[in-house]
Amino acid sequence: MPLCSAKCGKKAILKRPKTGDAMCKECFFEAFENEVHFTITRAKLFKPNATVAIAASGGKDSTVLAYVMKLLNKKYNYKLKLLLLSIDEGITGYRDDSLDTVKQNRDDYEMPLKVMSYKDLYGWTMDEIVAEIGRKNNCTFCGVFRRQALDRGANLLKVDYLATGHNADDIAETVLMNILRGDLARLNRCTSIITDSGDGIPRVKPLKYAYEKEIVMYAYFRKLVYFSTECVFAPNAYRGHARVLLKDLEKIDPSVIMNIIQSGESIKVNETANMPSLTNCMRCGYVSSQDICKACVLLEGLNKGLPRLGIGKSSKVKRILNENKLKNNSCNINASTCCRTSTGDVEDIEDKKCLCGGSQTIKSLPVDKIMSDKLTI
Amino acid sequence: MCSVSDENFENEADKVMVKSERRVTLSANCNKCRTAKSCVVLRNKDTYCKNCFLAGATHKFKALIGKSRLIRPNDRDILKKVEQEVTSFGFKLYCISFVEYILNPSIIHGIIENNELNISENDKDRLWDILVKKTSKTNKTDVINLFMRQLLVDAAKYLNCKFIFTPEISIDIASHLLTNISLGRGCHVPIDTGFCDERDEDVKILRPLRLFDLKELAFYNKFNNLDPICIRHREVNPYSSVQDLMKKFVKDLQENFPATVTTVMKTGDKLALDKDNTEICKLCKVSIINSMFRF
Repeated sequence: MPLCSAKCGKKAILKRPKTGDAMCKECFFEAFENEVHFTITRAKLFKPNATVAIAASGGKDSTVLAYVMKLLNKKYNYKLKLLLLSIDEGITGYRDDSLDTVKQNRDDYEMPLKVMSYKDLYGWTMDEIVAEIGRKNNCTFCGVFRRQALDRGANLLKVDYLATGHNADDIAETVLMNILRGDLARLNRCTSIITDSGDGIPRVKPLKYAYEKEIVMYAYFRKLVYFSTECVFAPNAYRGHARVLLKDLEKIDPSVIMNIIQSGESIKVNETANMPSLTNCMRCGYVSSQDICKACVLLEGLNKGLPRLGIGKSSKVKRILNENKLKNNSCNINASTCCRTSTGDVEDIEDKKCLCGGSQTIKSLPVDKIMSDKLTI
Repeated sequence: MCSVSDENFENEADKVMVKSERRVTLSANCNKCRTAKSCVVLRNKDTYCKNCFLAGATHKFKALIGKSRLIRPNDRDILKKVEQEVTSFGFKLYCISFVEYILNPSIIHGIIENNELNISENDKDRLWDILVKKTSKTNKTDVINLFMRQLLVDAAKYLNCKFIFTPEISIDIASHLLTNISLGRGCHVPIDTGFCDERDEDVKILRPLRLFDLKELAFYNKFNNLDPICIRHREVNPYSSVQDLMKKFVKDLQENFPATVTTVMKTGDKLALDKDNTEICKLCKVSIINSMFRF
């Protein structure tokens, strides 16, 4: 084995995936930690004396993030108050196990832990949602709900920042994906290290420049406990094209990942190009590009027994919501859970066949009532 | 954390690429004139008769050039062509040795030839010798492309031309764009893959074929009885360089998800050049983004 390229005199035991340098364990730790420290100080990520919630799933990224944040906070005296925030989606056989890992982290790193559950926030666990929707589109629910759940949790804990474990590979992949999808708005903002969801709490990505392979290597040599099972509902993975392409590119030249992030940061969108504007959801106040945010639409679908409501196009959703509203206003309420609309069309053919044959008009709970009950924390 | 659906799309349909449907039927009449029998299927769905196809292709070419409002009558253009037949259209043909140019870029007047080209068998070796041996194929190709562009500009200046037409088609543009992104040249996308490369003040490089795909051009040649020479390309390992990998990736897209190739190009069209920086890179002639101060 060659000597460590940092000239510390020790024998190298690993090859850094990012640079190809041969290194000893200690020098690799130092290089990795220094790069995260550099990322944090260069971007001025945190103000002193702030409270930072670390989104912890128990996976490799968040475990390494929690460990490194604690270490750097002490070493460089950031004066941060760190705590862990976990989301319990209610997936038996996945989240219950990974939450144990998070609890282990809580004890190891001496950080307070707050767990937010989908059941508390939305009234549904993922297991219940999957029973309703089937396994095909469940990730839509989980992803949309998680994003909001993290923000709501952060709000509840009154933290100043929410740190997530997104790594360099994730970001490069997102850049490629947004180019393939032609999504300029997301292409423009996906590389920023701080994203502010409107009035909410800024989300920061301290591991933005850390390679996935190095994170795994760091966790391995530091002997960190993390949970590495895929979600039991994990689908025929989307992002597929971008991910495969990125892995192939990394094999040719690992610096491509950094190059893609650099490209994503330096591109400028033409001023004449149409960009969607962000507003706030009329119901829950969360930022959204539509009048009603995705989570509210999905919830309304679940609560009305039309779970596929939010799966289709947003224009279709808008139409259905409007129709429902009209019906609510004019309906002379018969106690019924029929899904047939007044026009006689069955709304959601694939999921629920109408049982009454259209003899009764639809009765849905007043919209405001449902939402405010289920969404308050 | 599970990153599926992290991006919080509004529409489920946004998440998957549109796979092209293969239903090739030529029995129907032309989509355009609805009278003549169709003989070409484009994008796996639109069928055209010969006349409508040719009219459409010509229109597309003229429209792209006309829209840019760059070229006026009597301007001199240079066509970058590798085909021998180019002389049969009555164009004047000039040849130049790339190696000689790289070895000494200032002697362009001495090496530009009228009809015949002085190339020797070891030219390729001479070319690769100039570049540092240990450099990766990705970087070598990148540098060669930069020199190629500079050679065209210098030659155009020598011949007193204001425009250069280059023959990239849609898949070339899309793969070049993705290559640029992967090499950290994201801010070069507008000039490297757009219709007009206006880096040089006097000579502009135009890409009039950028909206065409391979099939359209092949049929255009066929209907006009053009018979370009076919060079059999040596098979390259797609994993040997970023450029080769991107070519393969875009070729696969064109076959299975042709709409995505168009999307990639349209994304590129909506990116703008950052003109705030005054410092210009000596090699690629693009303004330098100072990433030291960006985050």
